[in-house]
Amino acid sequence: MKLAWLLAFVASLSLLRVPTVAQLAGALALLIVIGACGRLPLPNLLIRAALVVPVVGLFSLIVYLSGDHVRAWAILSKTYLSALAVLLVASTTPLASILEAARWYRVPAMLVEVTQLLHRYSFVLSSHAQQLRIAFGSRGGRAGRESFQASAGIIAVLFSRTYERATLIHRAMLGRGFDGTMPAGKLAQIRMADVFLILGGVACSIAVHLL
Amino acid sequence: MHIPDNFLATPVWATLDAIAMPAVALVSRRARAGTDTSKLPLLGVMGAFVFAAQMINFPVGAGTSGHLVGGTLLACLLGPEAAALVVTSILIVQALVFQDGGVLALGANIFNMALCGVLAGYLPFAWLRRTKWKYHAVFLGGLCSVFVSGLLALAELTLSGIRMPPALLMISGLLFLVNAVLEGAITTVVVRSIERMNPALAGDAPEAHRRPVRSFTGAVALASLVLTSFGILIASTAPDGLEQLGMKMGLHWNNSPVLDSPLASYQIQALGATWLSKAAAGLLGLAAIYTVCVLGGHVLARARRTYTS
Repeated sequence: MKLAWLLAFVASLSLLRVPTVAQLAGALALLIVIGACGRLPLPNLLIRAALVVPVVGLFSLIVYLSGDHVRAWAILSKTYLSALAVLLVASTTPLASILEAARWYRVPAMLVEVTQLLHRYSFVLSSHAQQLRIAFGSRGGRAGRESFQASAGIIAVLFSRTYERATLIHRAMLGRGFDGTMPAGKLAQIRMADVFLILGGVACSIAVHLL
Repeated sequence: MHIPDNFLATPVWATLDAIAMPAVALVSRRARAGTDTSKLPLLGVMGAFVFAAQMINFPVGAGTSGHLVGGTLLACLLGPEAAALVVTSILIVQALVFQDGGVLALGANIFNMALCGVLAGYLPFAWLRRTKWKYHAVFLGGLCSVFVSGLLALAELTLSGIRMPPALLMISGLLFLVNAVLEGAITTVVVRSIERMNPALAGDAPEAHRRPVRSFTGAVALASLVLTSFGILIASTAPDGLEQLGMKMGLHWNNSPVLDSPLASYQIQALGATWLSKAAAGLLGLAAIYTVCVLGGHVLARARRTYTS
């Protein structure tokens, strides 16, 4: 349901060709209310959503300098609000639940399973890569021509260990009854209150157009 | 380049989402058919490997460094379908967890990087993997993968009405080219290192199914036929730069050609300057080019077989 709301909200924003200040303020207010209801640290969220500004700001500046001031402002503000909406959903929903919901929406099972495993092991392997970098530095490694080769060597070592880990993971999965497809997790039961809440959120997202 | 939400115009992102969804379903089905169940953890963990590998910096001089993108590396090691699936997973996690790339723009990012980028990276490797040009092919694949993805992103931004001055477009293209060369170099060095460490790991990549290359070839052929037949209706009739310069300088080089061709000026002379004449001339030219390419390919393939036998 949260995915449906997120897609509806971002699509609604996208359809605002020339958003007025009232419409943008209404959308921001909706997100702040949702964040407050979820008891999230709003200042942190607002700052974190601004991570898109450097990239988007450059293109907004290009559009601004080409003479289309309204479009430049629209790109910057709508992109920020979209990033904030995604952040709200990501902060209140584990990725595993989002992927289970995606499975319910008939996203290919293989894609869901690969994404689950990717998310599960990305932090493990990232810390492993960090350790290899520190080991390289502590052995006198520094920037230069040789370190280009050395970096490739680090990746090769990481790849080799990743391959071995994949074999161990497969054996562990077999030991836990893996039969070729990962078992689907249980989705939380949807209550009427959830339905009204999400429908209300979708309605508010559409109502922004009326401001 | 990860495109955020509300960057692209609604028709552009909606079209790309509509293209990406069935394409991803097709790639998933082919990846499942082409790999056994023991490879499922490998695919997931390879995606995590690419994440981790992007943390390793490669110094490129002048105090800057680059990092591996990984599409071509995955294609060389896992095959194109599995690589496209893994890159799609990476893009989904990046969009939902790291806010790198939009949610509605996922279709555009998947189209650019997971589908076109991986295919552009894999094709040179597929054609030259069993020749002495293998590592050149890996380099070319890495270069094409990043360059094609970047150009597609630029094209989508232009289609969405973001007007960039020509100088800025040139600079953006050059930056993509520099990144593409870097990706080619890094991918080549990494593949060599992996092969040196354990040749069996690098040689594990399955041969691509013939069908994806045939489907791609069929799609390109169809697009060529459509463009040749109907592109004339929307083509500009204004003279090109060289012709305009010639006109300003008073040159008339078309008046006395050395060879007379029945298809001169891209039309069948006997039919006059009608749509049918131009379309027919275009199709005949297309057939001629195709014949030359096929014959040339046979000659090259025979030469390659002679070399490897």
